[in-house]
Amino acid sequence: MDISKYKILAEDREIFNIPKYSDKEFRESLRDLLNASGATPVILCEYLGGSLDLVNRYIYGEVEIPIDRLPPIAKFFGIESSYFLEYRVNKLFKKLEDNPDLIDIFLELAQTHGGSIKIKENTNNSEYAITEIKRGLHRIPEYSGDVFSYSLRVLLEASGATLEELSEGIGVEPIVISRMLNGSVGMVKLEIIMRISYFFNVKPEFFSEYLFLVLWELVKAKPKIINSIFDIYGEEVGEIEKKIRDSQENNNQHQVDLQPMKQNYINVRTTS
Amino acid sequence: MDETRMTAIALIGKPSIVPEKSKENFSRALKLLMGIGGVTVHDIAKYLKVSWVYIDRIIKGKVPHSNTTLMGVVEYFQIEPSYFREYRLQRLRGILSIHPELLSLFMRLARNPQKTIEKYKNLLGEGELTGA
Repeated sequence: MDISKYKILAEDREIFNIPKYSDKEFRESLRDLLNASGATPVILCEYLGGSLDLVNRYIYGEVEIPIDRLPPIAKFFGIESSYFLEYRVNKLFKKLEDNPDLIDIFLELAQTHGGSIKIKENTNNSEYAITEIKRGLHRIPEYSGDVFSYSLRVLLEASGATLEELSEGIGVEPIVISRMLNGSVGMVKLEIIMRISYFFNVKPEFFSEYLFLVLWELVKAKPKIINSIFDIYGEEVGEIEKKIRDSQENNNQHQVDLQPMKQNYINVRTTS
Repeated sequence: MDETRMTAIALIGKPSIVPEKSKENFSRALKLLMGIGGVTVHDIAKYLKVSWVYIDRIIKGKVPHSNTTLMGVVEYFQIEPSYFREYRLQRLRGILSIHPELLSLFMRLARNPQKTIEKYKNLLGEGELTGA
């Protein structure tokens, strides 16, 4: 039997919206495949060698498809067996049988959000998007409150994306990302932060550096605003100054010249 | 309630004797419960109104158990159904059928089970990792 004409081609996938992995029940996935390939249940039945009644019962969901029947069906359509949700679930469950601790972990994870899973709609639905569940799992706060390199590392780990995948996703060379992760790039550009935020589907405000850049733009546009900041945080600024001075005295590696900063501050104060 | 069952329930109800969740398959988990409670195949069969041969074959892993049997055993020993690994898997299957988007995450976490267990062991109750 020549089954080559029923193979799902790249254009069929696009036209009939056939993803690499189906999230639908078997009967719906099978219907999609039959529709996209132009095959009929009779043709499929001839290939599989079972009764037409049985194939129809699979299609209408009257009987559960045995897992060992999935690879020949996948072969008929020229797709991977893992296209079928049931095949992937079965693969996962085999792992769980050997590692029963994972069952409890997964159940707990699934129930983390108020007894039922509520996954927010994402603007970016890529598999690396930080969903609510991943946020809960990795305890990712709304605002990182940490340095860029650490925040990026947390997102990479939670998403499961590799450095290369991130590089491809945001259009930045892997070496640059590597330097970002090592904290050796200085201040990251606003545009890059925006791209990274979109890749992981987090708000740009997640990164402290984004907040800093926004604040910096604000200060540039309205320099007087810095007075208010100093008025509010004058005490803290004094403490930071003291710390810098102390560390300068203790460690000559940190050569921080406070004079220009002080002069800037005085200039702003006097001009306002 | 007959005396055998009462004794079994009293013994199995002690968390120090029986873990909250079994990691074994149904056959072994049931066998363990019966052993601790001093319950025979006949006692279970009589309560579930099935033949003792059927229960015996389940224990020996020759036939798969049904949901009715599992729930009957749960009722007999007055334990939580989640004690059985199969019940927990069934729940997980149900969750995945409603939320298939979780599958890719779980599959990724299952790639390196030890790492995942180590990372999320705080989600498991105390003693779960060392329980039978």
